[in-house]
Amino acid sequence: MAFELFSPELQKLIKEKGFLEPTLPQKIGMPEILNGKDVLIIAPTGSGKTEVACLPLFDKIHKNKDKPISMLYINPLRSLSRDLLDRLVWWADKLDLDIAVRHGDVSQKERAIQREMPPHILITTPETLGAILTGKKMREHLKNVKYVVIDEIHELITSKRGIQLSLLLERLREVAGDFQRIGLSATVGSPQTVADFLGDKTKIIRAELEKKYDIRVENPKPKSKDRIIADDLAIGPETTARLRKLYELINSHKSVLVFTNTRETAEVLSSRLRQFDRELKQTVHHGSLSKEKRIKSEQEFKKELLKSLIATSSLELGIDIGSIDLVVQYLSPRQVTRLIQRTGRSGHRVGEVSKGIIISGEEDLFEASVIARRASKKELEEIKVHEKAMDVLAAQVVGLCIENYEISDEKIYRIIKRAYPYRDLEKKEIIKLLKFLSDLRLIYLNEGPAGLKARRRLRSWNYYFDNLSTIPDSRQYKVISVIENEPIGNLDEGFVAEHGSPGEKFVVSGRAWRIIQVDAQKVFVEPVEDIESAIPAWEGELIPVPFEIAQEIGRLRRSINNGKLEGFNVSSAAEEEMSQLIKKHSSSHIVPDDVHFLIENYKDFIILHSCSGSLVNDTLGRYIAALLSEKTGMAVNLKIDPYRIMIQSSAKASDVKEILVKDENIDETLKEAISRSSLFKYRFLQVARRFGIISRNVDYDRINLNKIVSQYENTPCYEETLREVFLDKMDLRNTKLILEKIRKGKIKVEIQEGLSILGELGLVHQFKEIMKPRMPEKEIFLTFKRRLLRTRVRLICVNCGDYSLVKAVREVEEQPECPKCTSRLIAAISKRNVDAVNIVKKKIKKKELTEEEMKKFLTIRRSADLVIVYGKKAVVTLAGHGIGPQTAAYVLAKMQPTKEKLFQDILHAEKEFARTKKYWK
Amino acid sequence: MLILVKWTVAWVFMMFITGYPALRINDYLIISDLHLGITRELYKKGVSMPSQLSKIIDSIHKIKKISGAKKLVLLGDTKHNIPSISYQELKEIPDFLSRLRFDSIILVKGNHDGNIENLIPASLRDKVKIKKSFVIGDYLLTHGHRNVKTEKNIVMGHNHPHIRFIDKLGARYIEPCWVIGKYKRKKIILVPTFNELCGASIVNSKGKFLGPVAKKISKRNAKVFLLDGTYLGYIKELMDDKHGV
Repeated sequence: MAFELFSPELQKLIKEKGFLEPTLPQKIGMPEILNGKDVLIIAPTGSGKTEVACLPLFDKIHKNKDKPISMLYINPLRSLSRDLLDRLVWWADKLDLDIAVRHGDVSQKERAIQREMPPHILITTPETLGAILTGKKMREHLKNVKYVVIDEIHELITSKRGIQLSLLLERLREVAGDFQRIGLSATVGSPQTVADFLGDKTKIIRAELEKKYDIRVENPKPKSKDRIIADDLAIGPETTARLRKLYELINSHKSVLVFTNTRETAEVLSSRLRQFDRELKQTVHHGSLSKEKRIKSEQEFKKELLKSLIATSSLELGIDIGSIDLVVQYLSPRQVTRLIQRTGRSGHRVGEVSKGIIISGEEDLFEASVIARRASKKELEEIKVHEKAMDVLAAQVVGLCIENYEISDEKIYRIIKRAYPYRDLEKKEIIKLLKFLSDLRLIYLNEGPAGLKARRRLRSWNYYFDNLSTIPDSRQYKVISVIENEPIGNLDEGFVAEHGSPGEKFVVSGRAWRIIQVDAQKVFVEPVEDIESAIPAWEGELIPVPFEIAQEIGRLRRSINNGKLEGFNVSSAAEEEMSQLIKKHSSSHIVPDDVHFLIENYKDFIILHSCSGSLVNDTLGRYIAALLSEKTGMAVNLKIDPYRIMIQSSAKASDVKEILVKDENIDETLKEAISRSSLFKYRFLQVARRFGIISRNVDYDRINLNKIVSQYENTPCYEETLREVFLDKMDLRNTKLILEKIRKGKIKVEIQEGLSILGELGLVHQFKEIMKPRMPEKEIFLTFKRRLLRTRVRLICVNCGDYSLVKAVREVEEQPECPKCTSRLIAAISKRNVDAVNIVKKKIKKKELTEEEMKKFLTIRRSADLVIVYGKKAVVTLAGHGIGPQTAAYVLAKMQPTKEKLFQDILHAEKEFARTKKYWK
Repeated sequence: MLILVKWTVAWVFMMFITGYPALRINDYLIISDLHLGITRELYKKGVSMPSQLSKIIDSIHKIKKISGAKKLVLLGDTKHNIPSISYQELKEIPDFLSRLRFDSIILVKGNHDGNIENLIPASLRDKVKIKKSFVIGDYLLTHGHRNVKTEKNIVMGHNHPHIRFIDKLGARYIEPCWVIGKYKRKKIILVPTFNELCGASIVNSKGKFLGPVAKKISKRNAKVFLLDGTYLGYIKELMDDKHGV
């Protein structure tokens, strides 16, 4: 029995708390921790992981009367610290131990108390550990640290935050000497990597294998009534069927957590459910909502005031949100790890089965089925760790200089190399970095007889404290439609950086748009019909579908095509739907699978079907695009999904095949293509921020990123950007594998004409879920017309100057007249132009006008000239956004035969204004 | 390598160095607007840049080799920060001057060059001459921030001329360029800046050129050349609103 190893005091407390039986992780984990071993505990959420780590350590601190600070508890989520404190303070109090929280939001006063009277146990974040390590007094206290617990280590390890933490722990080790390390992790794909990351002698304790998941895939088919509802809700019948299924599931359970892959889908689902049934208590939860709003819905859900929450990854980990009896995944979760994590949020209590349902359909069904099968076998994705990230290292090296005043390159190298992600770091790399930091004037570097000595300087502090956090802060752009002149949604900075040039098309709020102009905060767009070449704006939110999963989907397609479905656990309804799709496709084209690639031609699109996953297709796509644009001398439009590469270009399908078959240096071509891409520039910006090259509050309008990038070519900053892009966005290894298979004939590539079923799905399917039925041109036009007629203008009599009135355009008479002097010389100007009347009066009284006033008067006069000739038509035109008398005269001179035609011309002039206004300034 | 050679009446040898913002007149190599301390100003704006010094010195020596010139004219704005001299300039400018391998250096004063006299190391007093303007044959070399009375052709800096191209989709590209304008049958040549980090003035947009000298140039009969020698035509034909929109 695990509990019997504890001191009598703690045993008494355990009884008092009512813990009778230790859970599995407690049973096998606690003795190891008492023995002082470095331990990685892998257990599902809700199995009392925190207690496994804390109780034995508390007991040891209590028994040995360790000096504070004896233990650090590092948790990546600041919002969780309070929860944790509440949970642990009871034990600590009874054992006479002090416990406190420290992170960015903790008040100065509290920090001062901690500095003078440090607690035994400190709950903190990686960033704050970075901050306190440089404090003289806190460092004194940190000398006593004997135990470090790292919570949610599986989350940290894949990001740069984790890399930072690995270095921070080595810095701490310089101060405190060796300490016991405990890692707490959810189920992961490569436990050994996580263990190595923690330390080289880490013992892995797996207590998650007994956890049961019940995951089903459902593919609801539309019934006849769904088609009627679909029209009301402005969604497709298939989506309606899924929505109805979701509705039924929510109603037949107590508390249902629904996960979607994008914020946009979450919003659409919630709003349509509301239209479906206003009484159903549900709401959305995602990263773009305010913190207050999120906390409110979490609490209401926990108290069961809400029956359902529709969330994105924002609710994947973290706070306890009560007992959930069902998790619904809406459409394929794209990765097994994610499905396990999400499903694990239900049946939270020990021994309970976690129940999850994937609602899927059409092509998505293949992916959902494969992922469900893999989840039941617990075949999780491997973890990717950033190796030798130079930007994170830069800040930590400067941190070491601050801590030590002066430090030799040898010592820095020795400390750094102990951290797992830097185990292969070479001495010359650290020297290059040190020289670069000195060039950036972040440290002093002196060359002595015994090697280099790095010393802190004034700028070191600013830089270090500006870069405590490695998380990039991302801005949002407002999308403004020039038709309605209203905001229609938001775009992430990363998306704008990558796809935000004028002329590019993207999908947001259920429609396709073309970018007209981008400024510092806004993106101006007009609607287009051409959805095929548009890129979904939520692309950045989608996690990549891994190579292995896409390959298995290829195998699944092949076995369905061959008529024998072995080893796949799918319902007969799902099997039926999938084989229907394959049958339809195979009537005209060969079925692309893991050993057959299909290239098809449609309009100016070339679609290459390749079941290789998001990253390989992105890599391969960029490679092909680079070579094609070299060949044709023109830009190539590229769009990818896990199963297709879609290229818009003047090249031929045979050119693509030729590229696939020919053996060329893919590394160099890609490096060259990537370093010119806007993706690279955007990532460079973030890396440059972490290097302190670009300060966090720089005015983006005033810097020229291209110039900066070219100045830093071949520096650690440039190389780090390339490395990051290749790790996050590319999969070179598997791409080479695919190309080799093609060259050896193991994968056959065929060219066929015409658009296949699977090809068409690629061009439009990804939008289906959120597409409203197309808004007809007419509708757009009506919206514009309504807006124009609603616009309020100021009418001024230029003859007497006594008449000035603000009116909506629709209320203006056909031939406006001055009620005072009956003159028809009425000017229509902006309603905000208040002093116009004074200028007119001054002119009438023959007073001297300043140059400025004269200019204004002429504009007013010209406006009146137009109104006297064209009547209301002139007023309507002048009400257009950005249309002055000059443009209006040009528009009106066309003498449109109908009013409709006039409105069209005004719309055109407005667009022209939006497009060119930047140059007019 | 394409080289433009001009023989004028007074038998002056003059050539533009292809691919670089530099020209040679007789034995002199002429470059302009180095703005050596500009990284300090950029840093204050929030962007940290490596020092440009070594890069600039290397490329000057490269051009020296190509052109075969023995003497150097720095056509103003060699330093950047005004009114005070930054610490960086205090260190870099003497270093810069002493690392240049020329027989003599003429330092024409620009509007950013206040007190540059104090930055010339004693050992270089004989080699470096400071002038307001400088004459080679029928060319007068000056920075261009002050008016000059002359009957000669003028070579000047101060403007950082660049040309802007706008493509069909509205994407904009900016390239440094030479401007050769006319005033009273004499030429006025605007030399592009030598430092890539400097701001640009766009020649094919509305407004006049900078400074009392260049102001006299009419955009109607001023020619534009790219650094590689491409002749683009008269500025009036290249105005922003004439193409792309």
